[in-house]
Amino acid sequence: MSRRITLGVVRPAAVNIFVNGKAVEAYEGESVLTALMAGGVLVMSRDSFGRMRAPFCNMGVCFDCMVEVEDGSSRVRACLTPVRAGLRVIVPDHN
Amino acid sequence: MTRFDVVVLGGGLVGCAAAYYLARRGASVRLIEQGDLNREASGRNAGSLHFQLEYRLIRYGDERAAQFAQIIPLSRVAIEDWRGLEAELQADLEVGMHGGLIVAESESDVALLEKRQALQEKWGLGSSLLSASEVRRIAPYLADSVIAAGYFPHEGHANPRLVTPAFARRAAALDASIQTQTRVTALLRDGAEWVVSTVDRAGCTQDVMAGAVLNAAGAWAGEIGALAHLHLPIFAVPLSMNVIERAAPLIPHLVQHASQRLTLKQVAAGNVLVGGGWSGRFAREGSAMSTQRRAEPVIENVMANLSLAARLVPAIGGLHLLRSWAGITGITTDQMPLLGAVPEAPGFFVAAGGAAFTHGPTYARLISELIVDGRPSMSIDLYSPARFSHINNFMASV
Amino acid sequence: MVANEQQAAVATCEVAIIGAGPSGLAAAALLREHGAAVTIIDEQARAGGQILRQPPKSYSVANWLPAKLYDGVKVALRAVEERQDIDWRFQSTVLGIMRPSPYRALRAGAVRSNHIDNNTNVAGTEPDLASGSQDTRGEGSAGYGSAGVRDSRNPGGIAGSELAGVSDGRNLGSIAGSGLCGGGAHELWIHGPNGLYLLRANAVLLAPGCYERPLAFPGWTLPGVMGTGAIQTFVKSQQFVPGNRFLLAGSHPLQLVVADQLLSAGAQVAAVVFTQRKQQAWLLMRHPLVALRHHRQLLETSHIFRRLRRAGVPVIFGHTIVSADGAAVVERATIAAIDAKGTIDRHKTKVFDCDRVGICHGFLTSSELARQAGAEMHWKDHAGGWLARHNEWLESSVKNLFLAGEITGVDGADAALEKGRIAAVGILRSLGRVDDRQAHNLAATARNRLSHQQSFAAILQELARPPASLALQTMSDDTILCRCESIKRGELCQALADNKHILSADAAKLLTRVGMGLCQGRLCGDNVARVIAEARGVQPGKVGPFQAQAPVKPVPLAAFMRRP
Repeated sequence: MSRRITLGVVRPAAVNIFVNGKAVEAYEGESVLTALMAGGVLVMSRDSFGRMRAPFCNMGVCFDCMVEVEDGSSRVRACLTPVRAGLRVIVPDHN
Repeated sequence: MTRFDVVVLGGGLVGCAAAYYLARRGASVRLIEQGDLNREASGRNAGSLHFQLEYRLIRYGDERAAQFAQIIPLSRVAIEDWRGLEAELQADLEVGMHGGLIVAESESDVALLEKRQALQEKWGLGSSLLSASEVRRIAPYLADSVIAAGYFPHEGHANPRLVTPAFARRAAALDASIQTQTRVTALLRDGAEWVVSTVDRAGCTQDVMAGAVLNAAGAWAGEIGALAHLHLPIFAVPLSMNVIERAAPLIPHLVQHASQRLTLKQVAAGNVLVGGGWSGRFAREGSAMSTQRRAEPVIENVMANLSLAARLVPAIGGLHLLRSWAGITGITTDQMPLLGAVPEAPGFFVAAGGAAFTHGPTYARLISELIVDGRPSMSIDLYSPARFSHINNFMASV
Repeated sequence: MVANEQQAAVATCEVAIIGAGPSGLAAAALLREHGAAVTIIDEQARAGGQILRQPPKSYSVANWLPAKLYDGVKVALRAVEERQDIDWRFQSTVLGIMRPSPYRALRAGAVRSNHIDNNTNVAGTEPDLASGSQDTRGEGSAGYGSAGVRDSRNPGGIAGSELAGVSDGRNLGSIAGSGLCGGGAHELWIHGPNGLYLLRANAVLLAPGCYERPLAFPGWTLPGVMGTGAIQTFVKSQQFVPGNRFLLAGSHPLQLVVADQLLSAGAQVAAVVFTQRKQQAWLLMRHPLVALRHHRQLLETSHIFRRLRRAGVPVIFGHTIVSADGAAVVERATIAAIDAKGTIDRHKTKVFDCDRVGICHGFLTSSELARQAGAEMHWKDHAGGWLARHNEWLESSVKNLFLAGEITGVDGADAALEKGRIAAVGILRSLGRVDDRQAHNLAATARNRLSHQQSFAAILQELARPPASLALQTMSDDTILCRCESIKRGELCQALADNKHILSADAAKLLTRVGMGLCQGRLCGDNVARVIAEARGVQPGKVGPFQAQAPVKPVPLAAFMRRP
């Protein structure tokens, strides 16, 4: 599975983000996309055709990693959004 | 020299529709477009089908508003034309005529709506004035700031991406000859005919004979007129449009504002289109404004337009703007269309200006009747270029 | 023109550099050396561009990117990234490069915005307004240019400006003490951490880089299929292995580097698949120019081959990916042989189990801002698709819009450094900070190095190109061409058959919605052009790119809301 590299890497203290209300461990500065994938989430949204959208470019070009954040009032590119403690993310098909 | 009964200049909605209606009436037609079909205002406008008087038509005082109201007879015919268009063209044009709302947020807005309604009724277009609660009932997506709305059940929208190509396909099926990437370089009267000279992208020149010339060049109609040594008082203006990402179906209506520039609608794919006549900015060529290069949107106007839209429909506030652009359209000096024959130039017809998307198919149908049959099925005298004879009297020399 | 009571927030600068990759950084260093005030805008949180996507600042990573091929660009990065006299604007997206408004110039400071608290009605603005000549785009330089009065000792970011920065509360720099230049040459729409604002610049250096050229094939939209560069970015920047077992397929040598990085990070690599036949690759590698000048790269490549072999990773030549399959996520990928003519032989296939697929068929330039600004473009397939034309100073056809990095041809990071330097000299010259003779002297070394690097790049591009018809062969009629709008190749083909007048990508977009979605055609544009070109019997370059319009990336509507 996806996993963080630990050898030779010092990260800041872990914080929690909340994915569909459930706490997921992450690190400040890490991208929300990385935190989600490390937490086992690959599908970021379903588009208006019902198709699963999962990250493709990881550099802000494809918009396939758009996720709902906070109360669903805004959507951001997960690959460009840094983790901050307490961030709430909503993704489809994930418990 | 090849001869056509009619050479149509301009490959937008009016030109392609005219090519179709002319061909259907048995005329041999060539359409000439300097760029590609549907690439200017016809394909870049918001696709509103608005039959109530737009804000631009009533904002300049009662006298002029009364004059502008003369457009309503054309609107009433256009409603029927749009209702039948998908069947006529055997194509899905995403025509949705589920009603239009002109919303009021203040007492003075309500007064404007009442004035509109009176004018419209005089010309036989019955709309209703909805109270706040009635508005809420049929349009729950609107903000609480809306206290009343003028409602007309036949308003709506069609997809500008689809309408012109559908006309072009049908025209081609009726053997209309469509030439794109081709520019007209000269129009010369030769006896009872016109000689139309063109040059294409590759530099190939060609002359064709035409029994009649139809100027359907929209914002460029003035330039085409100049080729025939005429002044057509039509000015290019750059209008902004904004497209918002897809969303679940929310807004079935065409939404306008009583006293501000706004059109708002949701298209079949779910995108929300926001426009309403906010200006963009032309590029310059030396000291002149360029209509050949792309006009740009102006950020303050995009902000104002979108702020107004999100104020009235709060649910769109969480969405993303996908694109803005400034499309170039043509406005006549009196805002009325130029539709008919130019008396000073025999065989030279114009169909341009006005609300050329909403009224475009109707312009095209009526002008084709005038050209082929000698008289249209409804009077278009009110819109005739003859009202500028006091200018062209000094121009064309027969 | 509609005059609005509310003006947008406006910041100004002397030189705006779009993109903090190697070319932008090299340009910044040289511009600062000669006293020009520099503002750098980048979407990422840190400098370095895609090649040097850095770990978050909060991380400490031992031995980051040890490979020698990164040495040159790392030096360029370290030379400027800590500089306080550069106005850095990270996590900021440039949405458009516009002509400055003749209605806005004088009121630039008089905005009712809580971010700007100063009035900037300073000398130098009025003459331009009076002459109405703000619009310098492509029409000569009249109307911009207060460079002569600019105080070169008072560069951006450190000048005593009282104008609080609209983007991140920092000083805005070049306005201070020097007189706001009338309108500036360009006005950038920027969306940053604090919202939407305008940045007016006397000169703009566009260094937006490139992104992976996507190959469309059945299953390419399945979760788990991504760009190989995307996978690499997870590893080098996020220190994260984004899967378990990877199959890498494509034509670019980058695949080898990424496979090596994945192995080092402890991942499994199912296979590395190249479209090129082995002989083809070696013939080019043995090109005398390559062997002589780039022996280090060659050596590194052979080390990687050895490590892959030791790890039991098959490196397969003469094959292409033809499908990815799985229920909800990739579970396996199928590759097929390509014959000498470049035709896929679907009888010769191999299937690999994997949970991630990386695809890597070269790069496309991020050309949208250049196109939106109206710069002249030209098509050069394996140099990155749409490239911007330029003069010897890397100035585009749009006056004072300079270019550096991959936008003039995907020549790699070392060439990008030199392009950045040449463009910087061009800007200094245009601003009147150096004369013609000085400019030629300053640029001489960079020009010399660039020409060497470009000859290597040309060979690499030749080496890294997939068969010309590959994209058309891997897509079936049922393959999704446009991910955002879910449009299949067959649907586009049908529209082309029904509408003979459609000759351009843009006309196809208007009719079919292809390219109209959130990515704005970045992922489908190249393949759409190939489909149209095939249908019309022309080269993809004749089909044209999609028209680029501001905002060149989607922006939350909230950014446009007027502040109360």
